[in-house]
Amino acid sequence: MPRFALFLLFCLGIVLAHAEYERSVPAANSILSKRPGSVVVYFTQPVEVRLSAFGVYALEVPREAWGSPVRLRQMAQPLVRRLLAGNAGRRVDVGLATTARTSRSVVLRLRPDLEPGPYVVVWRNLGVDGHSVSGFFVFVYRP
Amino acid sequence: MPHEHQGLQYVIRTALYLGVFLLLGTGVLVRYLGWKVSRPQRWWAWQVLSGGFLLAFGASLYGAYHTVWMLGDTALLGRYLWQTQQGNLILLRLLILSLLLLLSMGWFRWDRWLYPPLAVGLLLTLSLTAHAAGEGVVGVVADLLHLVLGVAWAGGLLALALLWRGAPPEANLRALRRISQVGGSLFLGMALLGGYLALVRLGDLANLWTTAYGQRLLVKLGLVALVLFLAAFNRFWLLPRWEAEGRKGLYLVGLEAFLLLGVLGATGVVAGTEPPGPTPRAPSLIRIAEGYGEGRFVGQLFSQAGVIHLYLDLRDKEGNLLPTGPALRVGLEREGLVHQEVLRPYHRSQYHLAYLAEEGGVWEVWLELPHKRLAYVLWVGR
Repeated sequence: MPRFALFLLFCLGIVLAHAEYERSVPAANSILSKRPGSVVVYFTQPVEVRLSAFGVYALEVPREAWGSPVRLRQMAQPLVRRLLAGNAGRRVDVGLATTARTSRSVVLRLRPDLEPGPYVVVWRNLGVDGHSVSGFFVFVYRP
Repeated sequence: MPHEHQGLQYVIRTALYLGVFLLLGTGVLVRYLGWKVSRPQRWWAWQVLSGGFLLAFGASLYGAYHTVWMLGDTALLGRYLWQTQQGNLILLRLLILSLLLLLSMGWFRWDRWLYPPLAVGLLLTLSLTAHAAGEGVVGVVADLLHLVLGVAWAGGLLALALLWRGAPPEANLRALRRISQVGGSLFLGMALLGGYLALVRLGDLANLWTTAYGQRLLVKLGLVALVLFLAAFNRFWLLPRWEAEGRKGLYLVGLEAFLLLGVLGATGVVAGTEPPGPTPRAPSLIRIAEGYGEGRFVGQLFSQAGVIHLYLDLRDKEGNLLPTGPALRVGLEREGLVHQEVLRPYHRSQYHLAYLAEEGGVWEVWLELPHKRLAYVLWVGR
């Protein structure tokens, strides 16, 4: 019986809801002193990599705002809306390094000459359950 | 940001389930449960099969188109079908649907052996393109078995209700008895698996009534309970009496089948709704009781189906409402999403706020009373 209960608990532990953002490297709202070479985003379930869109964009805001991730997130929203509507932004990644068809994590390579400043990582993914989820997070590179 | 859903997705999923249940249900009835029901009316059986095929085929193709439309570019349809796991599964589904239609022509010698793996394969393509796809092997297997049992029982019953009229009464009765005999075990298995899947997707039992997914699931469960009640009434009370009286008729199978259509519709809606996911990391209901002068503020702050509600009364020490109340400031915040407003009484000293949260998760809520500021952390499920 205890074995069965453990099995049930293990099974019930697999609780997921679409391909939502789980975590990332660099973490959301983090301030980095070292220039990052890539961004890794982990989702709660695998995404169809080839039909999902990912990008890292420079967030052009006053320097005073760099220290407040909450404020940066607020300031990033108009840019994110524009990007998701198909408009161009100042992209700082050089594309996906992930080659798998479906994956729970995606790796975006960043330009080697990344300048200090705040950046926003934006995506519109297609989960393996057929649902599309869009989202974003910000991080700051401040050496 | 919330993922993008369209009402059309519910219709597509419902059409897909209905088509598959009609196609496979007729196949199960014709082969295993009551071939004498369909024999005198092959042409009508073929029409029901073809209708199911067309519904499932059309819903799969249109579903693929709808997915790329949601992604913002319908020109991606080819890439979606060829280069994604889901697209490949949809192509496989179209192939299996065509093979099942071919099998129903009765040209193949090994039909009884070919049919089960093809039917299970078709249902597997459904599981692997729905919520179960993100739930690992256990989730996929549970979802697949749930579908297999559902098709054998509900699909068979649906097909019987459609083919009943032109068949000999004895053949109908025999088919109905067979469905009833296996129905109990099939339903029990289906209910256990459905319960397990619901628990996995809800994360917490409270999500059954506090989230949109849970509430839609409740509607489905209500319809299933009605079908079960009707089936039991049919089997244990009506059928024996009518048989004793020598009456021949539809009994309540038609009504059961009609309710099953409702169950399939509810399944389509549930399949298109985002499950609430992980166990809440904060309460979704907070009771407020704060003294103020001679009286006190009492009320509740809670979330339900993605909406944050605040009900607050200012009452005197006897518990009566005051003639009026002061304006209060309230703020809601989650990762950069901020909403602030000034609450004024809508009736005497009663306040109400309803705010549709853009995102599910943990929200910070603050409330400025005239004499102090209250701060809460609230879980918002969707």
